[in-house]
Amino acid sequence: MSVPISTIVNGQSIDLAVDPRSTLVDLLREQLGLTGTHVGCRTASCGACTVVLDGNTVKSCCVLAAEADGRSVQTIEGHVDGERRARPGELDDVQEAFVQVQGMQCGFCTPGMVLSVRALLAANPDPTDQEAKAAIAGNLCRCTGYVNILRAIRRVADERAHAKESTDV
Amino acid sequence: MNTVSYAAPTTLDALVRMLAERGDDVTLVAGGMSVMPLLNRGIGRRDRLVTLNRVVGLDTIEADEDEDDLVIGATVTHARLAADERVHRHCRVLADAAGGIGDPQVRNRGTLGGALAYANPGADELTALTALTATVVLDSSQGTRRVPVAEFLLGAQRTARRPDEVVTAVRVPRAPAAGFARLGRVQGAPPTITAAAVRQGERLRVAVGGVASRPVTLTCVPHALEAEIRAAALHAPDPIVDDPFNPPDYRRAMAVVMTRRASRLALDRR
Amino acid sequence: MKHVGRSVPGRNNVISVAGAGTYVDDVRPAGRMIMAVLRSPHAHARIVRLDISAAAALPEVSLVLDGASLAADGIVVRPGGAFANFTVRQSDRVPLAVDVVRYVGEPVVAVVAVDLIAARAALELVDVEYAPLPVLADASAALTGQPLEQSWPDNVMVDYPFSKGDPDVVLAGSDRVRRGSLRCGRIAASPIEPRGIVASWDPYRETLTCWASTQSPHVLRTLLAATVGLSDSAVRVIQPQVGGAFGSKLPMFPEDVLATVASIRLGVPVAWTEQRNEYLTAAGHSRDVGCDYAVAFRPDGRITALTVDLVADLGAPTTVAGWAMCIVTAGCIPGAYQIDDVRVRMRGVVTNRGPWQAYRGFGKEVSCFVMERILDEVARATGVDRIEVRLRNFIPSSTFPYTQPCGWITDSGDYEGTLTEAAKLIDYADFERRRAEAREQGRTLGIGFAHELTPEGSSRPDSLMGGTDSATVRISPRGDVTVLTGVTSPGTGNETGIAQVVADALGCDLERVRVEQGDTASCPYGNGNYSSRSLTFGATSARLAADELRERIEAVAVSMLGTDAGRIRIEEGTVHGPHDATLTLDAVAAEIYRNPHGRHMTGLPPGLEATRSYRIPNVHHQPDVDGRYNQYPTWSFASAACVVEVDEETGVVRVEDFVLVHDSGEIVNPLLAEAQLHGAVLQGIGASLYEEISYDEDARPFAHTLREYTLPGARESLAPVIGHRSTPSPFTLDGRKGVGESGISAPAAAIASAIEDALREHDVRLSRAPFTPARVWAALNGGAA
Repeated sequence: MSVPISTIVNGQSIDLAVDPRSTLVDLLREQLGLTGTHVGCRTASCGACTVVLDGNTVKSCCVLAAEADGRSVQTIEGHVDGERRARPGELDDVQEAFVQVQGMQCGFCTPGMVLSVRALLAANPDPTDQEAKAAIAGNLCRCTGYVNILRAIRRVADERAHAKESTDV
Repeated sequence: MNTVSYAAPTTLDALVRMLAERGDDVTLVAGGMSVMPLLNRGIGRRDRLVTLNRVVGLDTIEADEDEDDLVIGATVTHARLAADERVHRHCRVLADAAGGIGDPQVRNRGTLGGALAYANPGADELTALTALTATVVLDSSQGTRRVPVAEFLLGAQRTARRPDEVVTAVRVPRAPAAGFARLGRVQGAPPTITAAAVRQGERLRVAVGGVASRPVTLTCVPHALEAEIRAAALHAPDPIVDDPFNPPDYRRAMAVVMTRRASRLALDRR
Repeated sequence: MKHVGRSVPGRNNVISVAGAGTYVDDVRPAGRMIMAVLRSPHAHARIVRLDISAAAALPEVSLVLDGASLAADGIVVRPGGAFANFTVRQSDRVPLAVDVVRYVGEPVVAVVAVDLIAARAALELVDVEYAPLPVLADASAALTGQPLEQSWPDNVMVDYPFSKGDPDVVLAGSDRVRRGSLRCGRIAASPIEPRGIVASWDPYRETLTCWASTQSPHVLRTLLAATVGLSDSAVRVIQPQVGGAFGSKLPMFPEDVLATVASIRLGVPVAWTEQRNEYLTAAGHSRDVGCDYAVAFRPDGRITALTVDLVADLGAPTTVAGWAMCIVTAGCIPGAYQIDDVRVRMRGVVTNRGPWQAYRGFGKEVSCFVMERILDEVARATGVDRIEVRLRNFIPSSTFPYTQPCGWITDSGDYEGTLTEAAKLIDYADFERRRAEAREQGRTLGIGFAHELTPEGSSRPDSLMGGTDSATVRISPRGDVTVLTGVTSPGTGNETGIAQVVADALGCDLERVRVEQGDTASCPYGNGNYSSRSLTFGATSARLAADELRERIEAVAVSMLGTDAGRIRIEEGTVHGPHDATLTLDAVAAEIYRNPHGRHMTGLPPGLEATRSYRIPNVHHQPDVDGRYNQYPTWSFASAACVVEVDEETGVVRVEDFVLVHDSGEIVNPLLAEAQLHGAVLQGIGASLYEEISYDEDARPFAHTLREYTLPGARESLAPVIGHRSTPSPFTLDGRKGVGESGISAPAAAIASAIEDALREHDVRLSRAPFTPARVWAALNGGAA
């Protein structure tokens, strides 16, 4: 059996048929070739599969592919404005901060982590250390000890506040 | 020959008709935070899925003035519960419970109805709902019935839901003076102990999850609380014994500690 | 500008952050089929009946493999290795169980189908009946029980004793003796990316190409080729981006062989991607070790004798060499401490638990836990301060190189340096005031210390990990530099570090150096990454190759500038001669390529490509010749100090502050080195407080998902304060020792020390890691912990 769905992925409207048993992460990776979203556990534990579904971060390994019908999905491959794919080298300030402060090592958790950090800073532009940790609690990292990831968050928050001050003046 | 079936009904009517026909043969999916990890590991029926996410009317939060209940739809997510101002004002202990679950992604998907249906021992919201003496609303082709939470939760992953029924809402009485306390071991593990205490005049009604397969609950005066909880924990049927990280004697002792903390919060509030 | 020593962000960062990395599950050759593995649900059972016909009959299934057919085809993995001074028993293994299953998760049948859903459906149709056999559930059962392996006399796989002096005499004559038992919990490395391989046999060319999430592509190539009967030259192994390894992806696994055999039989690519529950049960664990010790000491805390009897639960024997960790555990006792009368014995026993596989620390973390708990015990018994007692027992800095009681040779050290600095950075002097202040707020704080000794550069005889590595440095006609290295990176960033070393060696711009690794077709022979060797071995062999080219470049440049040798200097891609004469390196490269018969090249070898292998000194594998055996050339070390808060009601422990002062000799890239340390410290904290692999009395594992095997999340993390000191190795070319494992060992003992300090009024003793809330609570409430 296959279920026809209409979905928007990284700003692009897509009609396709999915196996009802398959998950959103498999739709993205297998059917659409968007391999930036990773699979680490399939039990909604590690968060490597985090994507944005209708504006909310979710663990796509535990969302049915058919769920994407009528909804919009953003992955790491998408431009941060959600309207299109990002071009190579087109990084937002969160990604730039990760690069500069070494917020990753093996990179496997990184796509999911970036999406969670974007969601955090959109909702809470000046998070405390505790709030930042709670926001990425669902994204496990085995390489970094989270230290540089939290530094990246602080760096973006500070830079954005500084930029805002400059424009507010 | 295995046929795969998938349904996404848009009305409650269509859903209950489906369940009347095939309720014991299908797997219901809402947020998926309990069921998908199981299906992904090959546990349960992946080839007979019915999603609740398209059924109109299951995700509302409404005040029922007549009975002074807050009626929370089954597909309301933990995130919405934790953030909703009406929930905070009416029964904040439920919002507190919801806000501590898992992580942001899990809270964005996991639902109150799913938590009830899966009845995982120690689950935060179930402890809160038990102390709140909430009522579970179930619908089937035969109509609607209400079951008090304490009678709905029967054990680990066991509830009073019949195969032809679906949880559609929870009715929560008003309880402003209440406290919630959670003992977690680490990110990603189920909570060790959850405790909720609701003031009832001079007494406290408490519920503790994580000692046994269903919440332990009792009502008493504050100064008797510790002894009563200790006794209830000791004698709770179907205690949780198979977690190497948290043996039964530790759970029982923590039941007392966390009840004390929840009740202190409840007593501090009006 | 010198590049070595600069904090350059990793060059793969941009790829990772864009989600553009290619990991093994992203490798999708056309026609790829999917392999799934049926695994034993029993810890020990006889396979009574196995019928694969229904599975094989499914139209979507192309192949079903079982153990009997593999054995009939001679597909057998033969473990090997030479072992001086101790006994190791090993047996050949067929990659699928034959007759008997010996651990939950052991592969029994492999199915290849069009997709994962079909493969799993096929697994369900495999008809297998087991007759359970008596289970060896733990090490004590193994010591007394029937042999698991038919051909072995008992269950002792490894028996490694050594001694120095006469500890039993000293113990008997001492009136200050303490005895105790210690236990480390079983741990799983758990990189976020599980294992995986894509094997692709080309039936026309008769060549095999494998993409594998592996730490050692060359080693995997040789082991795979030998097992399936191919020439090494016909096999190419490619390591794509790896999502973390920490030892867990050292070759070779049964699944690697199965995917390869399947691909050869079918003539199509076969992919296997591990599921998390497979990882947690079958990929291999570590650290399941207990010991009994006796220590004699003087009133000033100086230890006079030590005996340690260790037993490691190695799980079921397999061909993965994780069991070797138990030898390292023994050899690293007494570690950083000078004790001249010592006896150590390690028995590694096989049981029906899961097998062992390498994990960061490779056994040294257990040695550290043992020694540090003993030092704390001596401090407690004598009243000597915990820092002081360590200073009094440390190997003095002046006595290096130091021969350990086991015979291994510790290259250099300044243990007082790191420990005193750690005490300073944690502000030990102010701690009592801080403790009292917290007490007034109703909070219970404690401070603890631990010192870790981290031998690196593991080099073992008669293995494919014998103590060398190779690199090729090429400079193109336009002056672009390519380094091909035999070491690999699971995310550590050595492609950046190696580039820094080569750029300095050549005098060129860092941007002009590109490092390639992980492909056996292009990279010279190497052993991959493990034991923190990437820069010690990998960068050094690259430097040797670069030095060779530098010599040639200088000779040509001198000729082109018409000056004398010694009157030029090369910086950032420019050769500077006398009288402000300059020449770009690009111009020199062009000359070398374009005019090999020209006057500037007279007498010089042509071309600009060099391959060098580096055989690291301070490795001794000929004990019969010179009486020495040493498998660890360099010995990094670090001292940790931490402050914890203990909730006395619940036993919950929070690490408030963690200081790590580490000494690994020269550091190539502080940003990347510190990032390593952050990760190691939290892994160490994870093993101290949050992680443990448990089995029931039938050797069935508790953890099938990350909900049971719980890794520390961001809320469990903290930012450690890192201090650096450098006591270079006198043996390695640049004094480097290797950073990758620093920080993994000290946390357990430092945290135990701090918890006991916090609860000193209750005289709590913690002898068993992890110190879960339940164990701390039990210790507080009269139970043993």
